Amino acid sequence: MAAGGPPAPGGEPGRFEPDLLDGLPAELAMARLPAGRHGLPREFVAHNQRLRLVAAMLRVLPERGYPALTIGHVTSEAAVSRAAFYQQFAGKEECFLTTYDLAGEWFCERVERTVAGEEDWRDRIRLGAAEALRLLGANPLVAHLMAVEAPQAGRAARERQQAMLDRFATVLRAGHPGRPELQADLADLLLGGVVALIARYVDGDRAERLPEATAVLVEYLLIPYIGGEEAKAVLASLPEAG
Amino acid sequence: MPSFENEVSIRKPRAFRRRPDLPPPKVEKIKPRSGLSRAEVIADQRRRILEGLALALAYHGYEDTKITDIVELAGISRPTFYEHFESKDSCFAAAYEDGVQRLSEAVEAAGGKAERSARLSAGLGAGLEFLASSPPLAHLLLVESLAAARPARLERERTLDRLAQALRRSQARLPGREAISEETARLLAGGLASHLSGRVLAGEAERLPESQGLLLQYLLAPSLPATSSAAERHAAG
Repeated sequence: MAAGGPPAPGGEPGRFEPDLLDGLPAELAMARLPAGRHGLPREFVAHNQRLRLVAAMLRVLPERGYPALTIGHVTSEAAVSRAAFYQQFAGKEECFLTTYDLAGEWFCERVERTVAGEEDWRDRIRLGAAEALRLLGANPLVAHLMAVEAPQAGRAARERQQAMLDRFATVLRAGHPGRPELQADLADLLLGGVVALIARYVDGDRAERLPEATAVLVEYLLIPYIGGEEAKAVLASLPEAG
Repeated sequence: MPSFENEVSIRKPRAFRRRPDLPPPKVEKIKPRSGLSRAEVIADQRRRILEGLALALAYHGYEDTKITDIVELAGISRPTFYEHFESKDSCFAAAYEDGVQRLSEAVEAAGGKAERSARLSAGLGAGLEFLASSPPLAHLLLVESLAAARPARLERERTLDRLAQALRRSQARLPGREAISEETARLLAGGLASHLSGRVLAGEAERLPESQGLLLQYLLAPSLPATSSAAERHAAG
């Protein structure tokens, strides 16, 4: 298990490990807290339990699937009492949404940071797509959460997912101005295809191979806006996907 | 006098608890018919069960749909249900397969009648009309297949594989267009399904045909010849 921490650009993609967030020392964050009177501050304990519950939610989802998942599955995976669960979350959905928000923000923030310095729209798409697939390939649980569970976890989860896709759609639409004939909703359709691609890799138990789809994905995203020939030129400059 | 109140409504407390935003589903009670052969009776029971399942799913969602809901809506007894299916999962699998079959037939029939160059458009239009004509079935095929147990999800993936192959074939027939790769076709199929699921979830199943223009633009974009300029592409699109 690689430790969390800031990803080196171009190096190993980071891992989403919520119980290691906030720079908590790994042994304290992940470990079950000592039983009985341990003298740890109350706030620290609550925070630790919250992140452990989030991490547990992430881990048990692939096995159970959100609809069949119970709070008991999460608490026993997290080694946290049911009462402690209810101190943190009103119920299963709130725990799921918190997990989704944390993972989604972690993911979007990294992709956005990767493309932040790029002036050229085509480079933004190319680098953003490559980074997104790298991150998901290194974090199959996050890929599962975002592409498989979010669509089946109720209305609020779907709204969260839509809000995340809208962030990316805004970037895609920036390629529009020269193409008045393209409909604005085209970006949403394109991104729907991306989610379906990720779900397909996850369902086939090969999420770690997502980076192999980078070239196909970049071409698919660019072609409607710039045509096949230009898209191929952009692809030629794509670094070898891991 | 025959009664025309051929409707059974679902038990109210459950219904109101689950989806306060929707009216409780109602299904046409099958008129008692005489002179049917045993095989016809069985086929009719099966059809009613599948319809009852689709209605129950649209209302309760997969996880909360009970066999009781299905048999009430179908107007059959519980033992009759179990003569046809051993579980909700197997009933869903049958309903999904049956629905996909009918959808493909509608698409292929329309595509077969159209000119070569208009087949994609005609097939797409017919598919959207088919889904719009039965929102509960559209919900079953596009939404519940995501939430159902894992075998159903894998079946959905296989359906999208077949759709991708059909998209490739239809685009290969279009004059002046490049072949698209298998992977691109699969991305397109996924995007198409995501869009349709989203519309159905938003309660807009009846309005699916309105998406035809947008969907055509989306499906055709990757097969545009690499050399064409934006102006030519505009004319082609």
